[in-house]
Amino acid sequence: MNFPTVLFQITAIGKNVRALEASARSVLYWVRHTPALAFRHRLWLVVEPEGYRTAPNVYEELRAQGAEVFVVPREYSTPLGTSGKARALQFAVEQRQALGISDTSAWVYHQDEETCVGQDTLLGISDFIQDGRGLVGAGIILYPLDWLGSPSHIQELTRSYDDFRVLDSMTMPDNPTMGFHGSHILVRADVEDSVGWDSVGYAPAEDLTFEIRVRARYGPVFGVLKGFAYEKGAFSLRDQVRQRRRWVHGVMWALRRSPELNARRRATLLYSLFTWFSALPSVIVLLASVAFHYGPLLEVTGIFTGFIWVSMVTGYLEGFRLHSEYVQRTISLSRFVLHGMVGALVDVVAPWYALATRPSLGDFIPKDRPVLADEIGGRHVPG
Amino acid sequence: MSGRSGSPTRPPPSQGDDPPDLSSLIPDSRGSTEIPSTLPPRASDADLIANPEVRHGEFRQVLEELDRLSDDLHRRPGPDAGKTDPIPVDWDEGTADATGSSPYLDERLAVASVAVSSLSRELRELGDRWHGVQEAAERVEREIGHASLESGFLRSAKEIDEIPSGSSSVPRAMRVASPAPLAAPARKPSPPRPTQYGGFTVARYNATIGGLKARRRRLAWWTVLLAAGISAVLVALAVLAREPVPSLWLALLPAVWMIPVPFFVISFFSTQRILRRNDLDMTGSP
Repeated sequence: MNFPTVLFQITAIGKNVRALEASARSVLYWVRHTPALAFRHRLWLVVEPEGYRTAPNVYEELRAQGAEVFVVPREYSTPLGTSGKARALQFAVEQRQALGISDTSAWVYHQDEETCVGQDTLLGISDFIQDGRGLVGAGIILYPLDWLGSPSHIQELTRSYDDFRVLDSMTMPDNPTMGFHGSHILVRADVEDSVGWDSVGYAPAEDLTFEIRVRARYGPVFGVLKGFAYEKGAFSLRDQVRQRRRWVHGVMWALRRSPELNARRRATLLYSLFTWFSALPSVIVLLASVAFHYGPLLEVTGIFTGFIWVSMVTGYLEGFRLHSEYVQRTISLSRFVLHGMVGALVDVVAPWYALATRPSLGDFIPKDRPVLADEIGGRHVPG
Repeated sequence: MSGRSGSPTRPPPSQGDDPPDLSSLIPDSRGSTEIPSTLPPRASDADLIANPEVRHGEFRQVLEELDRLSDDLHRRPGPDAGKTDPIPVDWDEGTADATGSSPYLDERLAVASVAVSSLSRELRELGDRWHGVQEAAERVEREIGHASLESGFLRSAKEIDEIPSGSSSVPRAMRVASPAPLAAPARKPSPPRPTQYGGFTVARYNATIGGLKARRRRLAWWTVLLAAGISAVLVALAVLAREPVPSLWLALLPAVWMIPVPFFVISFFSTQRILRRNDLDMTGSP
């Protein structure tokens, strides 16, 4: 019997060694402990030289246990000269083509360095391939790893609940609310390798660019991937705002430099961006309304205010309930509310911060939680 | 002479000379694993596999017994031991000194003490090894269960393969690889260490998604009712305030609050729709 191959590909700089190691091990562990999977597996780690140098022993240990480690050569360049993560992704495409595995029998499951899989993830992948649900699949991401209840972690809860909107939108013909992920996506290898990740210059949101190209070339071939992926949020507000800045730059980049984007989708993308930008003025006007007495106009706008407020609060509450099976740490309601407000304010400010700053290739978001010596025990200390 | 008299057939060892050779009494590793016949009755092998506590209980009893024996052996006769525990009348003259104690007693006590300590240690090691055996048995049992699921799965997949391609609604090209599958590289068998991800199971996924699906309608109704209530209060307050209309440029500013309304409305219906569609249900939990 012939089974397709799923290539679990972790593409990263590689400096968050502990996070990356856990992600790789989660694949090895659950492949070993999940019977009835309708695929063979390979594990690819695609990292930059500086990441590999951080802890070569860890990479070699993973290699000994079945992972295939690819260090993107420093001198490697793509035909269009892209940089950042897109460059590493394109390198992996070329490796597949060289190995002759860019065909319908191979699938690529994309992971960030902190994307752990579970039993549900693997069965979801198996189910997606068996059912022939599409050529590209995406699912819901939870953020329970090292969850501390900090403002940035509270804010991530809303992203998980928002994923339901993302998945629904993604499976519709024109993706009306622009939903997609860069991780926890499954792509048939021939589709990915025909589209590629190469762009002119630095594409801050390479996943959005990829989605636009696949949809333009293959149409609505997107399906829902069952099972969660398990990631971790930014540890600090600074990292949170830098992460959001990259997203905003990515959307702006796609608006300017994606010829595949038709007028309707361009308008949708613009509206999404505009909505995000409107958050800060909304807060300012809300505060100003006390001073300027907008009474008569509130008779109109007030009709919708209730719905927006309830929708936002629902995002936090249901996001937390989605995580409750996985998060051990408890947090008081007052802290939850306070941290939620702080985290939301960062997201409110982020697009304007992005507007005021330039895209930075050097944005490195730490995902390795600082550990105490006794937690490390007798194990290696990367770096 | 200090009153010590020797036996013609077995000369007593001299006190203070080289220590006696005890090597023949210290059990080797092969012999140590044999369970003494004086232990409590053994449970059957099947019982031991099914109830490892039985064997652990036995080990504990044996160890306690040995500890007691060791304590007894270490307890030397006191100054008036002879008064309370007189020498038997049939005591061999050659084995007793003038004070009434046996010339071999110290030696025998020492040998027995070493043997008991050694036996005790070996039994503890045996207990540890048994724990390893128990874990291995559990692993074998789990793998046999997985293998059984795996073979059932392969059989059912083979049956699907044998169905003519035209009779299935599922595209075969998506389901089964056309060219030869990739062979995984040689692996060094080393079980990964499960940490946080060890708890990411299908059961938890189903509980999480099932819970959200179960409260979908309630969630929708509460959203609508609460939104209506809050909006009603806000509008009522605005009407009751009877404030004058501000200048036009100021009055238009709150329009910014309307921008995200379509986004939130679409999000609400999208979430409801995807939960209703059963796209996320996962059955067949292994």
